[in-house]
Amino acid sequence: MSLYDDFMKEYDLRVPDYLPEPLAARVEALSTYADKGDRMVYLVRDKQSGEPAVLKITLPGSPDSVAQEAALLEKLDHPSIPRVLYADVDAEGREFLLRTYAEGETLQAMVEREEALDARRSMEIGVQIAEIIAYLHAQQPPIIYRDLKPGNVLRTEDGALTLIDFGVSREYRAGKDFDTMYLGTAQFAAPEQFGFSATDVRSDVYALGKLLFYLNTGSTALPRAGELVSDKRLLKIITRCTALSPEKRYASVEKLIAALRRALNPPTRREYAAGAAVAAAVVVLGLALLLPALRDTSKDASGETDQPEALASDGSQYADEASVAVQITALDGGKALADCAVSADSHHWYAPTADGVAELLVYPYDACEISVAAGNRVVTTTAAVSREGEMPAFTLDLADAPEAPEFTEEVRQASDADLEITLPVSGATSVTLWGDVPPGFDVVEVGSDYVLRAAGPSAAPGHYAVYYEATNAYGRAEGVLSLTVQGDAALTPVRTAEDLSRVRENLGGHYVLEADIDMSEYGVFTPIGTDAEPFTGVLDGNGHSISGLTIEGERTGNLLYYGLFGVLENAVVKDLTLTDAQILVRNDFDGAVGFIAGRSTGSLITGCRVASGSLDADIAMESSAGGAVGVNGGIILGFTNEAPVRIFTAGSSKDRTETYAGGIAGTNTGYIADCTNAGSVTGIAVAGGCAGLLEGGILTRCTNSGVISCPDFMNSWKPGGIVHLIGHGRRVSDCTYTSTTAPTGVSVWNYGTVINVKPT
Amino acid sequence: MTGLALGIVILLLILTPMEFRRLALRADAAVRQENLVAQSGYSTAYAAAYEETLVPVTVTVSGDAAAAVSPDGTNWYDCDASGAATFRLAPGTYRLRAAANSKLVYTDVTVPTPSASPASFTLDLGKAPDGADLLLYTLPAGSPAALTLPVSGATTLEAAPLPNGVSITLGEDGGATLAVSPGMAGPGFYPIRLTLTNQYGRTLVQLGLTLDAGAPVTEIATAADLKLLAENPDGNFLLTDDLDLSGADDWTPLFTMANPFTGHLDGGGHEITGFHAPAVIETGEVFSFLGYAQNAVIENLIFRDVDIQPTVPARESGVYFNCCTLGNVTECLVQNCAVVGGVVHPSDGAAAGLLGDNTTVGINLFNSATVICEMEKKWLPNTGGVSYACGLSFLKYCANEGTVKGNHLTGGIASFARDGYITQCVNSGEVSGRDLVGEYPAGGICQTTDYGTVTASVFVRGQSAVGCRVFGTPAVVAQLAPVTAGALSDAEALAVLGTFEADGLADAADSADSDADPQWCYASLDAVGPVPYGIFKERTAAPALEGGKPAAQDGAEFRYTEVDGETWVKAVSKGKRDSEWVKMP
Repeated sequence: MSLYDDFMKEYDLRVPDYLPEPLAARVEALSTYADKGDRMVYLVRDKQSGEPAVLKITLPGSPDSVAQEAALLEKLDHPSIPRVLYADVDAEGREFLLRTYAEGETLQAMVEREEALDARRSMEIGVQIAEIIAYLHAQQPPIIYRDLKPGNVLRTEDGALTLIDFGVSREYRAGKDFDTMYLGTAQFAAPEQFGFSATDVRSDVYALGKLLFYLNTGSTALPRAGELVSDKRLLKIITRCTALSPEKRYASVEKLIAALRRALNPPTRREYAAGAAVAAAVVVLGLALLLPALRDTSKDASGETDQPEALASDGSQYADEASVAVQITALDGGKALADCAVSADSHHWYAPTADGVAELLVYPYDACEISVAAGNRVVTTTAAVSREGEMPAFTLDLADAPEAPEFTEEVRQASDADLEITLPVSGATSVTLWGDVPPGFDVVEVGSDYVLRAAGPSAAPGHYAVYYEATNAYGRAEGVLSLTVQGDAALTPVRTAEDLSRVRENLGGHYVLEADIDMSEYGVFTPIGTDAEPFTGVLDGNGHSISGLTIEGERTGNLLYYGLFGVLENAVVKDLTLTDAQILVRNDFDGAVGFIAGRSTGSLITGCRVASGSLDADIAMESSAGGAVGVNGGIILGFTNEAPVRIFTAGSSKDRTETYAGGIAGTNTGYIADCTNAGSVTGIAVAGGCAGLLEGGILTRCTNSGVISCPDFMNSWKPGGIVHLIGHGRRVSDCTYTSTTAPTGVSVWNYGTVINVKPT
Repeated sequence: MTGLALGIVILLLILTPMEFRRLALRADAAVRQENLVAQSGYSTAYAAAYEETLVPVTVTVSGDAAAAVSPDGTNWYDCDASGAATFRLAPGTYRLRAAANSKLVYTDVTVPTPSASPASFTLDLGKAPDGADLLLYTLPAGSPAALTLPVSGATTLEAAPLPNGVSITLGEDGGATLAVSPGMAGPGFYPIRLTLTNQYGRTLVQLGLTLDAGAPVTEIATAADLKLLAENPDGNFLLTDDLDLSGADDWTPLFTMANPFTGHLDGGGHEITGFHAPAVIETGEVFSFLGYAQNAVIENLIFRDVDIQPTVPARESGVYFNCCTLGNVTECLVQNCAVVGGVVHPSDGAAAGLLGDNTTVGINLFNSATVICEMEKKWLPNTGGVSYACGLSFLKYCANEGTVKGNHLTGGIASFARDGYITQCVNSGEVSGRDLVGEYPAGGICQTTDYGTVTASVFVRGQSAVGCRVFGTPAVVAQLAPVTAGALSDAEALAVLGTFEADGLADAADSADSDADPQWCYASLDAVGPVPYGIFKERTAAPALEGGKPAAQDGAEFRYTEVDGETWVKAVSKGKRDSEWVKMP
């Protein structure tokens, strides 16, 4: 039995008798191209003309649709795109497409055969393909091909190309935020095809870039483009095509074609050539030839040639030319460290490649801070980066930094006259306290240990948030110690609104809710504790809720602290849920408002939740509003906020330039971990999903799905899905936010570390 | 074509093979950085959605050939040759501004939703009040005087600082008159910033008033004569010869903050050489030639090869040691002054080529000294090629060619322009420093301006990242153009700076040159680019051709160029402007 007989036997089994009559009468099968069970592609022959053709069949339930492909192809008329000969859907939902056959080998086969094409040939083929894509994009509505890969382009011996397989193409619909599912081929698909955003013409630009890279190198490992692509012009084009952000790519395929043609036919630069005759001919000629090449490629990178908008008046269109490249290699114990963040300026942080290597552009400076950060550790070296000489290379090993656990808990008894805790650090040459250092607390070196000490009254009953930093010559590790000093206060049950209000009569007491409390009939509740007399005790919600809490307040002066508590100091609030809490406050300057408390110092808020309600704050100048607290200097763990937090202006002309809104805290100088915000956050100056401003604090493992509304800060720093601004900050790490809630996760205003903040 | 030969020479000097290697490395790194994943969580989904909401806005400006427009007072866009600029905005209400040089007009507009047609707006700079950007007057001190200022179209007027006894009144016709009461304002120079406004916008006019007491001139011919200067802070001095201060090993600034120089110092175009700082300075807060000057006039003075690199003891917080060549100048007029070559590099403190803290009118200033501030402290000193701090000041026709390296605000002309007005300046020196809050790099003109005006200036691409950026508060940054190093020798390419001295080349390409009151010239042995015309008074003699070749000239070198197949030659020398070009047979 011949191979053809084998094929026909299988074909008859797979396609027994359901071919529509016109189709069955028209073609005879020759060979199988693909058979994915519910999607078959056959080479067939027209019985009358003898011309080969391609028959596609999809069965019901297949994610592919040849009917959709047929519908697209029927609208097209291009010599490099197959024509539809027949299309039908039968009563069972089986879809049939008969299209013209295209000769040639795939570009994939060609590259595998030739290993790689030179830059010119790659670009010439690239122009051909791009012209076909441009035809698709010129349709109304534009057709996004979405599956451009070397296996989908056929090339004949005389160089003619045909684009095949329109199975995942779609017509572009403006305003469609997301593609509903990933379609395409992973190695060539643009990032937005993985669900980050909707595909548009720039998705095909991305794939064209990757295809150019493949043609020239035979590789799909795009991060290695810099070392594999030797032609600088082609490299620039590939780089621009494959920018992660669609905004940075060529805005259209036509512009890519123009760039390719420029690269294939570089313009002469009269001004340089003209001068060449004056000076030493050989050297100057070399300059004249080289300079345009470099300048032209930098123009491509800057977007000057394709950007229709006016140029910035500050002359920044050539800013890249002033920058210097530095290479950073991240190690951990001598091994490549990829799961980390690297920075050359302590403002902008990047993930290195899988081998731990990052090459960054920085502006020259005598003291660039080169850093590698992971977890709670950072290694940093300071070095001059100048325009002279070779590219500076730095290798930093995270293992050189001291070690300390990020978070530890300790419980001591107040009966212990003095308090001594050996901090769990190693590899440090010094340990210092930062943040709101509890009065009387200090760290002393005892032998090779670092011991936290507080004598006598300094360690009175209460909770202490102790932030320490272990440093050595190479870096630092940040640790947080949640220290509870237990006293002998008796437990006081709280069952009613009146019981709750009586907490203010003993601000150092230990209270336990023994029932859910409905305060909807209570009227306006006065916050417990003030700046002068803060709450210093324990309120254990014991899993109960307080509903209908209403707080209103107005101060013409400063020191407005509003919430269930005005001010918490070395206090503990835990396992408490607020529902339908309503807060409306106004002030002129220096205040803080939150559902739990206005301000927290040294305190612990853990396991609490705001399930519903609203917080509206007409506050100004150095004031903060947050879902848990306005200003947090303590520790907040596992807090969930589901209510809106709004800073608004009621028509007054107050100075709003320093107001901070956050889903968990308006301003955080302490430690926030494992928290969730789902409430909307509205600010006037600074607003973030979890914190507006991170002023020296840490925020880690948090999520946000609340929508952030706030202007750009100083027209540059966009509102953050997690934190708007880090100012003199420590770290935001391992957080996620819903990508449609804010334009970015976090921005560093003035020093700080950002590790692994992602939109989802 | 005039400067092509010189441009190539500059290229040869600058763009060594190492430079190409560096550029290539940078191109590679650009690729890789773009492929790295930013850790800050940039949301492509949000960005894409936001992008679709943006509306193209075209603003057309009339009334000035070269304007820039801004929807927020922070981001400025240059208009094209037709006076139009197109950018995109989110729908909303904006105060749309257009600015060119000293004029600013604005209008409040609403940008419609994307469904509407593209938004177009027009602004007319001609509707702003009229007035030159700089008005200088000399009046006799101690006598009443009244002037009608050549301004018009204003409905309100602010003047600051306004010296005692001086009043400025706005007339009903929109013009202004200035009156000086007898005996109230003492002799000296008084800068007054006029802000003329009407319903359409505002115009800045820098007024400079010299009240001249007619003090007798004291001539300074030797270094020893400088004692006369120190003893008479309000005197009228003229240098009659070059001075060599190389023997002055323990120079202390001539004047203090408590006893500043308030007189008139005319350098007569002479040079001071050998000016240097002691190796160690134990006391004081500033090192410079003068120390402090207030309401003084300092002009026509050139320092060559300064050496200001003192080691000073560490200071307490908030106190640091500043170094510059001339001094801290408060409400002075400083014109036609230069520092040619040398180093200003204190071990601790701010640094500038010429001026320290500056609330002054500075015209025709030039620096080519290297200026470095390496201080790494919590209090952050500034670094500038010409000035390290620009308060309510006015700088025009200034050039820097020196390398400027700083650790805080760093700029080729000035570190920053708080509310200063800087215009028609050029920087070609390398400027590098701390990228302020991650977004504001060191600037070719200034690093930042808070609420100042920085306009119509150029800087060499690659030597600094940007020209100047607005830091927060609405300010004006308009028409700051990056140019190639080769363009520094092309008067036509630098036309925004003003007019250039004619060079004699009979070529259409030199049409930008003008013999009528030029503002710039070339001095090749002291500068690679243009030099403010007022600095070098004398012109090198034109080459005399003997046997078809230029005859040797003392201290002069020859430069050649070819135009249309003809060879031209000019002579260049130190301390003088270049000669005219002479066509060779």
